[in-house]
Amino acid sequence: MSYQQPYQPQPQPPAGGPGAYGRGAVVCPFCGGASNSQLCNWCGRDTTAPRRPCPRCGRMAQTVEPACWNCGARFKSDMAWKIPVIILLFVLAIALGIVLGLAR
Amino acid sequence: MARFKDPNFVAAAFQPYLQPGEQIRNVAFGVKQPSMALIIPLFALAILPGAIATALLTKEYVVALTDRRVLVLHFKGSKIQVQEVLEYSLYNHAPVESSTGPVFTHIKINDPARPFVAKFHRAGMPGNREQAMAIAAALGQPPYPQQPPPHPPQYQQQYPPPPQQYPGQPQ
Repeated sequence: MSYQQPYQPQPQPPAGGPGAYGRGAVVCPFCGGASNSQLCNWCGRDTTAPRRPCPRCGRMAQTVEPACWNCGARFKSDMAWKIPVIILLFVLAIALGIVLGLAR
Repeated sequence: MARFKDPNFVAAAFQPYLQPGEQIRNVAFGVKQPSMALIIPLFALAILPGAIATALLTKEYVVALTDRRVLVLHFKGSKIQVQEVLEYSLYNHAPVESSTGPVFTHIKINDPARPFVAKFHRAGMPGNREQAMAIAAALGQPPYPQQPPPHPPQYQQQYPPPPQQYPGQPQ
């Protein structure tokens, strides 16, 4: 029994080079398929949607998606570490001010 | 003061995100700082932690105007490590507010789905002021007329004309 790979579209570049796509044709940033409309003909995603690269596999994923559609890695917001650092800085500053005030 | 010394280095960061045949016209560097309603209390509470917090909460962007759209890269680090990609078509974009002062050029795109606001310091990059003004001018123009879809004529649906008289209808 052989394992069959799931079907994945492998769009080929046009024979005439990049200019052969013509006006209005775009390459989907998610799957790489060529499309003539805002919605990709291959994956159905909005080709103009806000997107971010996956830190693990590098593929583009929509910003609204919580995890990478390709490798499943979950996206983490920068605020997850920035907010605790900011709070810690202010706590240390206030504590230092209290200590210096008591030392006088 | 300048965040980037070479505009070509910034333009090179857009290459993976360009469509085939797309040409970059202008590139600018901008930032989005947190609201002054947050900055002032942070600085009033403690100056140094307030400055650090403001720096941590500031988002950095590089914006490119191409022949068909405006590309926005939210990044971090000096090597332009891209965090998010936004794009706005020149053919169909939301209303844009822009202003230019002696130091900053402000651009605000009032798109409900993907709002963008940033200010571009004139010393952010060599030629940053002129580049940002060119991007603001391109966005300030009314959107170009939408091009018809490039469907060949044989795929365009042709409806027969409505009959003038139904069959069997008395003359």
